[in-house]
Amino acid sequence: MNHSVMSDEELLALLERTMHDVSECAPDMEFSATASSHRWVASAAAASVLVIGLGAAGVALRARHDAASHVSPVGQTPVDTAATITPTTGVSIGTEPSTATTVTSDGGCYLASYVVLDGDTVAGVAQRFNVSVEALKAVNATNPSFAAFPVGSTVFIPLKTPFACTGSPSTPEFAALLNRSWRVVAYGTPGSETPVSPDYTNTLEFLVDGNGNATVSTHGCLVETIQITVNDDKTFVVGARLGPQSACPNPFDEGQHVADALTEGATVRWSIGADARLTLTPVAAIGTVVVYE
Amino acid sequence: MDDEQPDAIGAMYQQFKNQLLGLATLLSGSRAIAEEVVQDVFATAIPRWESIDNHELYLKRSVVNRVRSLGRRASRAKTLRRDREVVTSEPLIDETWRLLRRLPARQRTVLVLRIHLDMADEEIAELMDCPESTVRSLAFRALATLRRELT
Repeated sequence: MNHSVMSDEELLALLERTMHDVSECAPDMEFSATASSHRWVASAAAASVLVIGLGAAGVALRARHDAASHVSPVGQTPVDTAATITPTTGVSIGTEPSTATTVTSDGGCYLASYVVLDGDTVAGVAQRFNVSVEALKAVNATNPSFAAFPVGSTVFIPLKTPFACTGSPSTPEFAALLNRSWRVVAYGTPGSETPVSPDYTNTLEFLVDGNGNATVSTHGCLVETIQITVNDDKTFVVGARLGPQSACPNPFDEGQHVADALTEGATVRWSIGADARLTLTPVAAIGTVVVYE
Repeated sequence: MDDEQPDAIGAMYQQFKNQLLGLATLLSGSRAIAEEVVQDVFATAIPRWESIDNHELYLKRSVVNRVRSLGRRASRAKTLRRDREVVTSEPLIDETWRLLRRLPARQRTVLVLRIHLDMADEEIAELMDCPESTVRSLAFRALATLRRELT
């Protein structure tokens, strides 16, 4: 952040104000309305994920991270919620790409479903998918889970740009790429990568936001979301950052290498090896690769 | 329990409910969890109300311990949830809150007790069952981390 050094008084005042605002639940701070001591525990196995349609790249993809949390395309009108919010048909687990799609009566996908995680708020989910709170509430008007917003419930996410959801993924390898959250395990030059400490938690996910834009998000020490343009030749072009970037102190300086690979304007080649590891290689760069598993 | 005790407990609940809710919210990061923690703490305290010397200290300590117990069970979940989240309309407040949540639990507890509840280090030491010097050390390290991150 771009601040001069804070005085003790300024820091204490900021902390006092932050604690006051958070403890008092500011008007737009929307905590879950339902309490359960199991929420934290139940969410321990949950992590974000997505099932995705990628219209711009001409592919329809779906992915999931684990059984506890996912986003998936569903029908436009959530009348029969039991049928639409559980699009399990054809959803793959692991690295097998899905070839099945959920098709609405008019042949388009306008909504995704999302399983609420611990700490999620209506405003937070809306921001994550780049849609307004009003739009989120509107498409969930008939969704009985939405009002309480409990962890584990499924809510609908409106997509501003409908994407084609018929047919099979034209690039199943990319579907495999999307199927999970990738954890950094090594970086360096090809053939001599440096292993990363196991306690380093930076992870990377590929997803599509409410506008249908493909994005890559990192979590952990480096938190950011970047728009990407996916090509058919196993490359993607790194675009603009969506929202702020933040980083935490990293004694291993390992987060920086993720950023190196995701420099705006860079073309990044990705490959999944026989060992199921994902390697990101900036094209026409010095040659530092980042390896995930 | 004598006839006057329910009134006394009710009065104590009304007097400290918001303070304890704030404490639990800031330590757990969830208003929903905070509400449950405070209810649990009172429910647990009622049967032993007569034997408690300092009710305020007992309730605050119980909230701290209860949240810490939940936090241990969910350490992995907390790791996963340390991302940025939008809580208020002010980015600086959100960022400060995010950094507060990333502090080690004991450091965050000291800051919350000291700044939000305006407790003296001596009281915090008694609540956390540790030397006063430890409280000062925890606060110093927490503030140094926050200052560095916010600069």
